[in-house]
This record gives sequence, structure tokens and C-alpha cells, in this order.
Amino acid sequence: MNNLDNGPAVQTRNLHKTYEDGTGELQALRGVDLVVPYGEFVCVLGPSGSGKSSLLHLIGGLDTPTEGSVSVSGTRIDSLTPDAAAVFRRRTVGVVHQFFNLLPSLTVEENIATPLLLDGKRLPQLEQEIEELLDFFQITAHRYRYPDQLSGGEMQRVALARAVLIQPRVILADEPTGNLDAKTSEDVLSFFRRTVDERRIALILVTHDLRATSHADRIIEMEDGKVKSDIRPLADRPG
Amino acid sequence: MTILAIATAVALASGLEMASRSVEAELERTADVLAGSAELEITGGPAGVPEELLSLIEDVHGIRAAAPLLEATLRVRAEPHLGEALHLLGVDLLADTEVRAYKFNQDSVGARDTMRLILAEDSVVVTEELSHRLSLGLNETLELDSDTGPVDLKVQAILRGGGVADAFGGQVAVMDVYLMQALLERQGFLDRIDIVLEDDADLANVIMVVSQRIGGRATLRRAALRGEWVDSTINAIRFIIWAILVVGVLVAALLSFSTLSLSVDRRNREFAILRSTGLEPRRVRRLVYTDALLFSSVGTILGIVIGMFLSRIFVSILSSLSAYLQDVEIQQLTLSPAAVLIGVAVGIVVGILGSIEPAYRTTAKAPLEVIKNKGVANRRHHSTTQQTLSFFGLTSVWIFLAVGLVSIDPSVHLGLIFFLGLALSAAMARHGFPRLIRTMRPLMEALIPRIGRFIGTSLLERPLHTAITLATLSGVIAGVTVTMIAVSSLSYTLDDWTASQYPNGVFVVAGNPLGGKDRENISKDTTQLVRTTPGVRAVFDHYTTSIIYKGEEVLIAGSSMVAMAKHGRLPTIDTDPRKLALALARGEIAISDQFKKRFAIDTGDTLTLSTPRGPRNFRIAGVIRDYAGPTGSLNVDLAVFDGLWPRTGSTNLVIWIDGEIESVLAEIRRRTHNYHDLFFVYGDELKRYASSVVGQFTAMLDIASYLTAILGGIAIMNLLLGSTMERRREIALLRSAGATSHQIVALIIFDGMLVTSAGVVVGIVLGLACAYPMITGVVRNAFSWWVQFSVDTSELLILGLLFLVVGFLASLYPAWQIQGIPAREASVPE
Repeated sequence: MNNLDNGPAVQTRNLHKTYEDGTGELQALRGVDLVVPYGEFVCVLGPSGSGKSSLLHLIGGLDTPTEGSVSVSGTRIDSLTPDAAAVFRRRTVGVVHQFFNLLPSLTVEENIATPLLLDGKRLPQLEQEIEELLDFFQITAHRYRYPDQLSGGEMQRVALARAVLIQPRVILADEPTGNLDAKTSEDVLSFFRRTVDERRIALILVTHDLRATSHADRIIEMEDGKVKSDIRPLADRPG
Repeated sequence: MTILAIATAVALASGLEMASRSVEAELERTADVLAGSAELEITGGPAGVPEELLSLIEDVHGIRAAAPLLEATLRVRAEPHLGEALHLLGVDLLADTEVRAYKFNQDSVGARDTMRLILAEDSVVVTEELSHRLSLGLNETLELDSDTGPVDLKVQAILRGGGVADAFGGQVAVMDVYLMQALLERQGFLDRIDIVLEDDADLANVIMVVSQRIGGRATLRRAALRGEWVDSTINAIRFIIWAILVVGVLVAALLSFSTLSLSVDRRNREFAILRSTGLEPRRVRRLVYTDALLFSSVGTILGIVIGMFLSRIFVSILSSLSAYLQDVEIQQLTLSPAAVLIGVAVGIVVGILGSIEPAYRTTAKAPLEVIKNKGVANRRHHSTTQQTLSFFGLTSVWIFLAVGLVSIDPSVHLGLIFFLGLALSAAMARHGFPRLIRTMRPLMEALIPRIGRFIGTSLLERPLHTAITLATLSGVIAGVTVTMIAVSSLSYTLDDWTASQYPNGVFVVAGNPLGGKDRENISKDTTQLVRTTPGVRAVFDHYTTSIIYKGEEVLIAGSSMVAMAKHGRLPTIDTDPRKLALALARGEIAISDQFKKRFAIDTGDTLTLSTPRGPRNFRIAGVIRDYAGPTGSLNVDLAVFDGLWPRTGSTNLVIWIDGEIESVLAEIRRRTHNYHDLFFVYGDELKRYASSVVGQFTAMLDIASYLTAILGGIAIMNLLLGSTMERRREIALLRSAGATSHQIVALIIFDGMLVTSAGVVVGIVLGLACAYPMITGVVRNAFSWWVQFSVDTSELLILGLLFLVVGFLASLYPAWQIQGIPAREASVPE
């Protein structure tokens, strides 16, 4: 645990997000206050349009809030320019998307290395870390393959490895099991759990998949842009 | 972008067609009108035909009429047509109606009183066309500039269309030949005497009698011979136009395919939904073709309008070419239905052909597969061996074509190299490029930290479009390369041909050395003054004129061969230059390679020429190379020439100087300024002279090069735009993984530069391979010129850099478009 771990991994205060569409304004978030410590696996649930993906985008600096603030590892990410947010993200935040977002013309190892390559590292310098991750996520055999030669579960494990390589303080996952069958979803969620436990990072996972809740330390339910409920099932459980 | 591509192809096709038809029509009409019903004509050297020959031949049995003709190009002196060329014909109005047709406007004086035109010394007849253009009525003054000063003429009659009024696009005026002689200070000389024969005349007898009477003072030739020169000019123009058209339309077609393909790809999901609701694949394809037809229609209309503007530029360039070759300037554009039809055909063919492959591709996949797009495109992974074999196989075939298969017709050879080269470059982009980019990644990463590993991803994502863009770029660059090599080869050949004949010699001409037909002969007195100037070591005296051999006009040159043997070097093909010069000095003759081919005669044979002193036999001592045209040339010693033909002076001199050149030339100028304005060409000036001659032929190619460079830029922009639009999510993913907007911009620009660099390399190699058969085969066949293949590497380097700049500029817009994609799009479903 380093000094940064003394504060929360993620903290949002009075977070609002309003989108303009053709018919008027759409309030995606209406004053969300949230504190996530390091080493916590948070599962965010809610129906479509409840604001869970918007919350994730604001925490990752993928979007900017209309009102309120977001701090990640002690940095006010809402006040950063888009480019500064991008640099912050590639050093601090791992992002996993639903659609196995891999770069199709890069090999598995190149996809995993993407954030650090963008940060100026060279692939040969990352060989050991990549090998460890390939081993950890059980995809060593696919190292030099391209994304279209992988299954859905394998692609999602590559995406997760990419998020983990930078040794992030926070991982944000947006519907990571949305396109996977039950068995593969379970595998991927197990990898998330192991990653949180072994690396002491905060994981915020947005999902519709109720199976994810069995792996989570905390379940936040959202509705109409607000936190409806916030529970810690394992803490509440006896023993 | 599709409409723009089609419009460009149509504009190029219809513009060139309009321009070439205008030029061809004008050349043919002018030649026909001026030759009229004449069957024979008497012409002279640059000085013209002595006027007294007219009375010597008029009474020859079989001649119905002999009409004198004087021609001059003057410039309009009044605004708003200041400087416009006007062709003034001097004719004997009483005799000329037997040769050429005149249709006077009934209201004008000419219809009633021809004599008034002859008697009034400033009378002129203008065409209706000219009268309207210059807003000139009867009795008004036509203000002109001639070499001898301003000329004011009074309009006494107006010619209607048809006959002489149709020559030179109507930009013609007619006056009495003797008044014109006085006006232009050419008393005693004519440009031509046209001869009309009686119906039952014995042509051979007339030729013999007239030849005897005119002696060596002029040349008698068949009037039909003019047609051959017109044809050769038209052929030259057609050749240039077709070369431009093929490259331009091909490039535009590839571009159109690429853009149509992009637009179909973007509607893939829409088509898949339509198919899933029951629309048959063939109806989907029909939808695509209908769209393409719509694009084609709009592009064609736009292209024809642009083509009309473009044709004006082409006409002015072709006009300068025809003015240089034929003295015919084209003032008016002929709007022909054929040009519009060609434009429509090109538009439809380019549009429809470009849509066939995308239409089949969009219906090839199962609709549900397209709708449930999983975010990662499936691609075929060829094995390395397969890629290597296919690449080397294709390359070997192409190299065999370029180097091994040289015995076939040069035009076919050129076509094969060009089209197979394009196919190879496309195949290379499809199969070789991915491997090359992947192999280069570690190097790129080391050279360009942060983005090096990602360079080329937009090209790999759309292999077909990358292949087409590379083929397009290669075609464009190859076309420009061929043009540049053709120009440099022609310049080099002319420069080398002149310089190697007269090493360290100074070329002397009277009149502007770059003025083509404006030059005059150097008088014998002037030559003597030059010869006796201190410091002049030797003088090569050279005179050229035309004679008739076996019914065809052939150039004959008389030159001082002793000086040539001692100081110069004849451009021989099969003999020692010095020995040949000495053989000519002894009275033998040298023929050019064209003459040898044309008349199937060779070294050692005997050549019989008709001379004013009767037939003379010459032994052919050797063959030389020259650029005299399809019938070639003959070369004899000046003393031999003077013994058989009359000579008014020298066409040019070459002098060799001891000591300081400038001071000797200054002394020559001082001694001769009362006789001639002599011009001296030597050293770098000689190169400039050669380049200016070649420049007449290349302005057209330059314009085409610029147009195709624009097409190349559009191709790169199109590829990158298509790629970036398709890759929005991928770019958003990079942003979400931490790429800054600057990194995204740099990536797109580097991708643009990568495909441009590949296009530059492939295009220049392809251009070099095409230029060789073009220069050594096609040009020789089309123009009868022996041109030495010469490559200016610095020019090719500049060309490469220029296209890299084009690639950079073309990448800016797609890069600017893409850098604003928000990172959150990475998690938005497609």
C-alpha cells in the first residue's frame, strides 16, 4: 500500500451530467456522491438510462461533468483537459469495455501493451510484465494472434490484461460480460476478483448481469441518475 | 467525393475531346481551304519564291491558273483584342478564285467591284467572324502591328462563311498580294504559287516543264503533301491526349471505385436489415447500382461543365503547339456532341464499374452476421509463404515483362507494363503491405516513440482500399514520371545532338534563336565578315532547304564538311564521323535514318536527285541521325550544293573561336550589325534552347500532371477519411486507453505519409519502366525521332518530395476530423 492509498481511490461529489439531444435536455446524473476505497470491487447495477455508464465515463475522464467533482487517486479529473485526462488515464486508470474493444491489426501482446506504448515505452521493455499477465489470464498461447482469432472470453481477458498492465489504481469496466455466455462470464468475473484481491485496486464494474454481484464487495443500484441503494453484502453477511 | 471523382474523369475526357476536336477541325479546315483546288505548289526557302517565277510558269501547257500567295501573322493593335493573332493573306483576287473559294457578303463592295480592292492601297477584306469579334464595319479601320511597324487597313468587303473565311478559325483577312508586299517590305517575293491544272493536263509533263523553268530558285511539290504534315501534327496531338486520357480516367475510375465502396460499406447494416426483412440480394445490388447511377449523373453533368472550362485551357495549349508546328492558332472552341457523349460514357462506365464489386461484397455476408457485428472484423490470415510466393511470383512476371519481353510492339509493351504494374502495386498493398508494416513496427517504434507501433493500422484495416489507393497513387506518379523523363530525354537528346556535333562551337543564327519560323537566313556577306573576324578559327556554314524526291518533300542540307571533319562530329550511325565528313567533302552524300527507312536505300547505294542542272547521281557514304520528320534528310558538302542548287545565304553558322569568346563575339556583332542581328548560342544557352523547343510539346503534359496530382491527393484523403470514419470506435478506444489528440493526429498523418511513400516508390519505379518503351519505342514510331533515354534524378527526387507534401496536406483534413472523437464512443455499441 502506498501513500496514495490513504485516501479514497474514487470520490465524486454532487455529480451532475446533462446531455443535450434533439428534443431537449436529458439529465443522466442528478447529484451522485460516491467514495470507493482501494481494494474494493464495486458493482453498479440499474436499468438502461439509469446513469451508470455516464457515471463510469465521468470517473474515467472519458467525459466531463456538468456540475460537481470527480477525484481519482487524489487527482481532480474533472478539471483536466481531454488530453491531460488521456495521459492520466493511461497511467492510472484501466478501462474495460463491453465490446472486447481490441485493435484488430495489433497482436494480443501489442493490444495489452497499448497504454504503455502510448506513454513512450517500447514493447521489448514490457516483455516480462506481458508474460506474467498472459500467464495470469491464461492466454499465453495467443500471444502473437490477432483479435479475430480469439473467442469472446479470450478477447475480454486480453482487454482486462491491458487494463491491468499499467498497474492502475482503479479499473473501470463497462458491461464486460455483456457479450459472453454464462461460463465465460463466470471466468472473467473470477479474474476481476483475483485482480482486485492481488493488486489492491479499486474496481467499478457497471453491469446488468446479476451474477457479478456474487463477486462484488459492494453493490450500488442506480435509478434516474441517482444512487438508489448502496450495500456491502459480504460485510453484512455473518462470519 | 464520389461525384468529385466522376466529375474529374468526365471533365478530363470531355475537355480533352473538345479541345482536340477543335484543333483537328481547324488544322484540317485551314489546310483544305488554303490548298483549295491547287494540285501543285511552288515554295521557296525562308526568303520565299521570287515573284518573276509566276510569269515564267503561267503559260505552261496544262496549267489553268497560277495564283500567288503571301502569308503573314500580324497582331491586333486595338483593345480589347490587343495582341490577338490575325492571319493576313495576300492574293491576286482576279486569279485566286480559280484556287480558293470566296463568298462575299452581298452588301459589301467585293461582290460588285473587286477592282476597288486592288486599287485602294489600304484595302482589306475581313471575315464576318472577324468583323463581329472586332466590331468592325465597312470602311472602318483595322489596326494591326507587323514586324515592320503599325499597319492600318480599311475594311472594304466582308467574307461570308465557307471558303477562305473558314481558314484559321475565321481569324483571317485578305488583301491584294502586291499591296501586301509593299506593306510588309517583301517586294519581289511570294510565299507560294498555287497551281491549278486543266482537267486533261499531263501531271508528269507539267512537273518537268515547271521544274525546268523555275530552276533551283524554288521548289515544286504536290499540294497534297501538306496533308501529311497536318496528319502528323494531328497524330502527335492525339497521341499526347490519349496518353493523358488513359492515365487520368483510370486514376479517376479507381478513385470512384474507392469512394463508392466506402459509401456502400457505410450502408452495410442498412442493406443487411433490408435483406433480413426479405429483400433479395439482387435487389440490394440494384439499389447500389441505382445510387451509383445517380452519383454518375450528377458527376457527369458537373464534369461536362468543368470540361468546357478545362477545354479552353487545353485549346490554348494545343493552339500554341499547332501554331509552332503549322502556323495555325485556334481561337474558337468547337462544342461537339461527341465530346458530350464521351463525357457521359466515361461518367456512366466509371460509376457503374466502380459499384459492381461493392454491390457484390455487401450481399456476400449473411445479413444477421452484419447486424450482430461483433466489433472485430474477420480477415483472412495468409501464411507468410503464401504471401511471399504470390508477391515474388507477380514481381517476376512484371520484371520479365519490363525487361525480357522487349520484342513486342512498344505500345503494347508499354500498356502491359503499366497495367500489370498497377495490378502488382495493388496486390503488393493487399498482401505485402501488412507484412511490411508488421515487420517495420519495432523500427518505427524506435524511431517514433509513443505512436510508432500504431503506424499503418488505418491502412491494414482497409486492405482493399489501401490497395486501390496505392494503385491510384502509383498510376498518377508513374504518369508524371513518364512525362518528366520524356521531357528530360527530349531536352537531353536535342542538347546532346547539337552539342556533340559542334563541340566547343558557338551556334550563330539571325533572328531570335527561340523564335522558330521567325528566323532569317544569314547573308553570304555576313558570313564572310564572320569568317574574317580575328579570333575566328573555323566556320561551319550550313544551309537547309527542301527538294522533291520520289514525289515527297525531303530536307536537304549543304554544309562545309571540311570544317566539320576538323572541328565537329557528324551524328553518324554506321560510320566514322570524320571519314563520313571527308567523303561528303569529296562529293558523296549522307542520308538520315528516316530517309533510309522511308525509301529503302542504304550506304553504298547510288541516289539520283533531280537538280536545276539535271539529274545527278550520288554515292551514299553513310547514315546520320536527325530530327527532320517522316521523310528524313540528305546531307552534302556546301560546295556540291552550290554547284547544283541556288542559295540565298546560310541557315546558320557554327564558329570555333581562339581566345576569349565574348570579345570575339562582340567584334562579330560590331562588324555585322548593319546586316543582321546575330544571336550566339553556346554552353548553357544551348540547353535552354533545347528545353524551349521541347517546352512547346510539354505544356499540355504539365497541366495533366497537375490534374493527376490533385487526383492523387483526393485518393489519399479518401482512403484516410474512409478509414477514420470506419474506425471511430477504434480511435475512441485508443483515446480511452490514453492516446492524446496530438497522437491521433500524428497517427493519421503518418499513415497518409506511409501510403504516399509507398506510392512514390512504386510509381517512380513503374514510371521508369514505362518511360523506356515510351521513349525508345512509342515516341520513335509516332514522331520518327530517335530520342535518347535520359533520367534526371534530381527531378525525380523533387517529384517524390512534392507528392509527400501532397500526402501530408491530404492527411490533414481526415486527421482534423478524427481528433475530436470523444473517448466515450469506445463503449457505445455500433
